[in-house]
Amino acid sequence: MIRIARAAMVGVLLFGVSSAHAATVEGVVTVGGRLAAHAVVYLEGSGAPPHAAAPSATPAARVVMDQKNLAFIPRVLPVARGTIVEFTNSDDVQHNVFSPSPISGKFNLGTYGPGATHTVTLDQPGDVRVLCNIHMEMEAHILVLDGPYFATVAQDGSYQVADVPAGAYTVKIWHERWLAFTQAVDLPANGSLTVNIAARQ
Amino acid sequence: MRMHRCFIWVALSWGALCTLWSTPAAAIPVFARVYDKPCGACHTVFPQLNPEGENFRAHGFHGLPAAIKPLRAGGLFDVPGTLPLALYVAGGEDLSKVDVAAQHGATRTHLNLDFLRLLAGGELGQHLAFLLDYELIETESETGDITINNLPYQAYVTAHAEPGAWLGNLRVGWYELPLGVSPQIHRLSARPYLIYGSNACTLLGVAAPRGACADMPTLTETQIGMELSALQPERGFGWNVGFTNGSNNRLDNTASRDFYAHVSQSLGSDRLGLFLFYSPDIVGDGVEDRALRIGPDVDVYSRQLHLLGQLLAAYESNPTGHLQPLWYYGGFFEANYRLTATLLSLLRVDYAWTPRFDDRMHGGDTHVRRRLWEVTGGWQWLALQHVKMVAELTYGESHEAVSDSNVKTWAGTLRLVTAFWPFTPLGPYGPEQPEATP
Repeated sequence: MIRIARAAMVGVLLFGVSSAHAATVEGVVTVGGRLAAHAVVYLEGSGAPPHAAAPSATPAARVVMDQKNLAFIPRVLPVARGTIVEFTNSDDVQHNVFSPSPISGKFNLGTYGPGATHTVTLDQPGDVRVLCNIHMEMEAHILVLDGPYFATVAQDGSYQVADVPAGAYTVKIWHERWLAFTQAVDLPANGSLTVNIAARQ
Repeated sequence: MRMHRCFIWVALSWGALCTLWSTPAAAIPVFARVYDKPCGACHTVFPQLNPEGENFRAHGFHGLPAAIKPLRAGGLFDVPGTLPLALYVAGGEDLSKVDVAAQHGATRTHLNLDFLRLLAGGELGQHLAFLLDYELIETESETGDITINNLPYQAYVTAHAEPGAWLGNLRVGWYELPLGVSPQIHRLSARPYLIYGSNACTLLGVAAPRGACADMPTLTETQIGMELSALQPERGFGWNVGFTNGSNNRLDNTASRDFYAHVSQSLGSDRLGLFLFYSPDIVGDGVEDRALRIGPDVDVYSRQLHLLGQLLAAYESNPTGHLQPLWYYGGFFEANYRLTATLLSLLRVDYAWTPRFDDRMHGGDTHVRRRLWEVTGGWQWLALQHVKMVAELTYGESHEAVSDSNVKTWAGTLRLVTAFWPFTPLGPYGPEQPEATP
């Protein structure tokens, strides 16, 4: 888990615009009045550089989606466009990794055993549904985003998007079963902005 | 009759209580407990295997790190570190209705303890493993008659080695023949496969010339034998060859010397195979009675849709004792569709037919041309990983063209199936405790 978090942070740093004047967007996500998890909060707007603006010499970020105890970990993974996702198998049994999502090119990394790692580069923005062909209960989602400003909602419903430059943004939320949520915000140069989100199923 | 129903209710209630009150580690059967894996690691919906379950079997029940360490017995020989046992129970309400010709039969329903089985298995060291499937009690679904068995349905020892790029296994004992689809042990549906259970005797509707119908080759039954198998995982090519004595899971019917083989080619998780069975002398008394079964099988697997198929051509050289041979044909096609991770739907079509058989010119009195078909549909719901509800309905027809008679059959079942072990002792047995760090 530490490795995943570290890789995600590296991704944010690589794609983000280093700025001494950066703010934080944070808040709590609820759905139906209850705290919610397995969702992604992300920002789109004037301050967020498009993917094409990233320096070409910047190496692609790498993040890990692990397979352990017949589950993909994390179950929801936001990444910036162009990120290389490593699918490790930390289980004792074989797994297969494939995606039926057209935006990912419907990749199939095959069936492989414990300790092995296969990778895929995700170039197109959108929801990439990840499945194991052997185990029906295994399912995960990788949300490929144009911008670098995103966060996964924690188990307690909280989220925090850090190091966001000042500007006008739209806060959006993604969940596999929820309706879309958007809210326009003006982010100051410093400090933090609280945006609590009441999502609808 | 009242005693019979009472016994079934007691058995089912006991099973339900044990299942609900067992600790999670004890509730799941042998391999799941020893390796600390959920049933779904190796099964689609138990008892059907998924590709990982097939892989575990191809490794001779080795390759997974044991959560309950084995006890070293000396040399290369170990014994499981826990009682490697589980109980497997199925029971519920069965329905059957048979219409002969134009006469409607009565619909019969009865509570039925389908089976109570003792399962055991595990590694016996680096290269050996064993498996036992002892059907202690089974009842006939049509009549409700209870049978207490004195022989295991399946009991074998397997030796495993990995020379070069091959996974090799040698097994000895009682086991299922390596057909395209497991005829009983890992079969998903409650309804048996028509073609695996058929032979000339049952299709012609005549008494076997020597011995009983049950002595004839029946692919549904386990056989006593020895088998060598190998699989090359990289290329997906595998084969099994073996000999049996044609026992049909009995000890008083062991005079045959039968040969069988199965070859298969996998492409990813899909597989195409060919099965061959040959018996040069079915009853083993030297009188002409040869038997042959040959046919392809297919298994197309994905997490949501699983397609299974088998075609067989069968030959018996002397089914009525008048040296008039019979070829007959049949097969099935089955689709399993996972609606959700815990709900599966099943649809299957079974078919078997004999061309016209007439031995009257050879001194007999059998003149038959039969066609049988069945359609089975149903659902299976995993209430817990080791508890499932099965609802299944079968409609079938058996048409005999010479006498133009037709028998229509309805059969249904609503049953609870579970596997568990309520008696796991505490103390030195049980999951290994994490080692203390200095």
